[in-house]
Amino acid sequence: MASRTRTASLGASLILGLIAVAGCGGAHGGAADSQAAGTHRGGTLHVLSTIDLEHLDPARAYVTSTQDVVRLVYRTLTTYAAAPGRAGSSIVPDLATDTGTPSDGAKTWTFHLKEGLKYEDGRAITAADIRYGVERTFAPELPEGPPYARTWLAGGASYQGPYKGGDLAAIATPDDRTIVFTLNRPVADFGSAAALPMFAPVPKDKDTGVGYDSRPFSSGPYKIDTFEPKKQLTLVRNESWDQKTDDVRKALPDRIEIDLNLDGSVVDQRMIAAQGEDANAVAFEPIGPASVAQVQTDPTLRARLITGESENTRFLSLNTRRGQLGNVKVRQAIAYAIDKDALRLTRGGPIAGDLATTILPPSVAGHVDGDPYPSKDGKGDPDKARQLLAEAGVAGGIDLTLDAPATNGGKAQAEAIQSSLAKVGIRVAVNEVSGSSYWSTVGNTAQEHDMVIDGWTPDWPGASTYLPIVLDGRAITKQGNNNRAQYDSSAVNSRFDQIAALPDANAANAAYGQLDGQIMADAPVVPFLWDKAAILVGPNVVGAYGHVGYVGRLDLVSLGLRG
Amino acid sequence: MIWYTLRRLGVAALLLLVICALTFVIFYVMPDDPAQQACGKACGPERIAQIRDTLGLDRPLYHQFGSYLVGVFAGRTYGTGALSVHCGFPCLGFSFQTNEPVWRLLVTRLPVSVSIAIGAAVLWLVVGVTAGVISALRRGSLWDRAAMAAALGGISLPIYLTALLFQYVLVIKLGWLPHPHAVSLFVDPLAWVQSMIMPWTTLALLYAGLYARLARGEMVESLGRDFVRTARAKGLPERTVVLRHALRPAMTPVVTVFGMDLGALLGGALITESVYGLPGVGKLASDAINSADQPVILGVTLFAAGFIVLANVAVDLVYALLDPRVRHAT
Repeated sequence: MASRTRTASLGASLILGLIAVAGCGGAHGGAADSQAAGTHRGGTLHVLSTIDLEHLDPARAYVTSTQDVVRLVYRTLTTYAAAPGRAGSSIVPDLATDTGTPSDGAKTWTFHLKEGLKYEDGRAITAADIRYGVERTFAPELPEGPPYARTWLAGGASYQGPYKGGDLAAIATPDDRTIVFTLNRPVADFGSAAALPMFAPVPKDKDTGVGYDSRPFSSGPYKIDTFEPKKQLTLVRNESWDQKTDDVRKALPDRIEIDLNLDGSVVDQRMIAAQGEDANAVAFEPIGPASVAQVQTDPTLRARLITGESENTRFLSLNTRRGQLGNVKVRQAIAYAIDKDALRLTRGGPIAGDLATTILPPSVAGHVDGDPYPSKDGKGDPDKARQLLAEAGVAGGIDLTLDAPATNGGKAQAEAIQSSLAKVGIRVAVNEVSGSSYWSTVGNTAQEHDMVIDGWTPDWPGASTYLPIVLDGRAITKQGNNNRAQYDSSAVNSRFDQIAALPDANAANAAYGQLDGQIMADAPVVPFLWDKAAILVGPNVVGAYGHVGYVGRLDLVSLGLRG
Repeated sequence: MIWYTLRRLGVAALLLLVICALTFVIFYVMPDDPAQQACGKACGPERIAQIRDTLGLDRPLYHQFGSYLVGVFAGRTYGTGALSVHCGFPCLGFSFQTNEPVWRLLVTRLPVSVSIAIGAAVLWLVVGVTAGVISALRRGSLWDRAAMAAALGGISLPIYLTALLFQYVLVIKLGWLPHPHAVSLFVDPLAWVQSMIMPWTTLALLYAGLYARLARGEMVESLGRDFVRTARAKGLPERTVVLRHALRPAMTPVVTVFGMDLGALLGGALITESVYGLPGVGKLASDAINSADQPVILGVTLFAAGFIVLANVAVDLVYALLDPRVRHAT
């Protein structure tokens, strides 16, 4: 029975994936969107990564790259569907029997655990372990994780984590397989948030505090064999994991070796050559702009190139509190003037994604098609921009400063913006900020300038972790600010409150989609790219597709090797 | 000689302390706030203040520097209670990004850097000095001109270019060598040589050129000195004149430069290690810079500086052996 359900749902997601692909097809040069699913068990899968893994500890794993990897090692209450295209953004049960039951107007959420769930040492996973895992995210010593537990759970504001504060009363575990969260506000998509790593079980006696990061205890199909930070992570089978309790993970390879911090051009070369063990390898990150041409002109390489949609939107934030940018007509003029196609070219052309016209990307529920600032091929409409600047009384042009990361990509994007705006008389000075301190600099309202090369990836494919975080005026803070437009509209703010109070997630998403259009008319941000990731896989690898929740990276849980 | 050695070591220790203080101040005033970095993308000022307190970043500079220095000799414990972590002697700081003491990270990376540095040094010393000496003996010959042109080429080619070229041709096109990976000489000597031969050659290409030119210049000068003329006048065989009388004084500047170069390389060959994906100290440094892992950057800086300072001491001592005037004059 269980297996029939799984096959049916997999079929449905494949169809959905194909529809999604057809909807946006033709934009990129024939790269495959997914491969046939694998069934052969065994072999060693290699993952070649140009980046590091930031924090494996479920309380601290917040970046999408790490989340893709840890899904192999531990399970959460819910998780993303393992499916290509937009079907991947649907939330499915993982440890829980369903995606959660709301009551009291979505202020109380109840989850029941499946039967037969086990850790790597064979003992049962209990609701108390999940409570303990969530409680750990309150500890200031484990600071990197998402803020949701701290902001949503009743009494969370003063709780200091299990090491100092005992248990949090807002999480109840009436029995070993039931967990109840009491929230201080209605949260319609709590079931989606429960897919975050922080909702993974952590057995209290295995918790080594800060050191847990080096070896989180396994509840998934793989356990950590060795982990050398910044070098390599090797995973081996967790024999206690039971396939019958897990509809998401295929667990095909016997062993997975992830090499970290490799050189980008070397990974591209190795994946193109695919010799020896590299035939069983996949790249973790998208191919570099320099390799795009070579891969696209070679049919055999193109067949090994997987494109995945992402839920990331890249945009230019216009600091509405600075000078002429307070004038909506000036902002609209910039929205018309920007050559989005030139910006995309700096990232490798159409393979890098679709030109964005709304803040919410098509992969996020609630997205509504629309383009309030149209131009031919997305190359900008300087005439319209000049007309708006004249109406604003600044036909003579203005001077603006743009914050850009001092990386190759950042510089190229800054130059593209500079030349777009030069056509309409806006003179742009570029302020380069070192890549590692870029987000903390532009997130500091005293250090931010007029415009910021910006972007947002939601914590799950829902508008509630998108619009309110980036555009709620009351969320502006002096440091760590995410509202780089410093946009503060009382009409929009009160609409955020109304939507947040809706207990139904679908109604909320629809309302967010409508609000997106309302905000776009005000032009505090200029969206220019909905990312796509193009990733090379070795000829022996099957089951590869880009997952929207991991910004288009391959969904590692579905990969297998040919027998 | 003992007194001389002790004095050199004392100066070296003082130098390291100054470097440590300077690096510490530079990181203290840098814009990257480790607390902000740790806090992630949705993080308010109160949370940042909590983290600053946990990491000890809210203490004054002299206090932080004091704890750091004490930690180097006595080890230290970060945080309190159940979540504290201990960093034992010699504690060069603790990386909160990787949850490892910086010293342990350095020590696990060192064998790779040592493998690269020693192998490359042998290669460039033999090739460079031999070519330079032969060139000096046959000044103006075809050999001289060809060798010096090749040396100039070796010096001019950027390391990242030669490294990528080697990798592309030898590994990907011809398949003669595997992709370099970190393997111990004592576990699998063949794989060690196979992995290291490209990094060695890459570095040796650059340094052999420099050393050939240096050795040639010194040798030419030395051959023109009075004592060489005297030796020849005494009727000594040319072989003895060159090897025993001319070569020895010509080698003193080479030894100086060699000590410094080897010291610097032991502290990590940043580009070579990065391009070949070899996890040495240099790769650790570049990764730490990219992720703004300040304790690691500080630790690598000190570690590398330590090698250079020690290499200097070693050079001074070798000098004293090569040239008795040095130890008597001081």
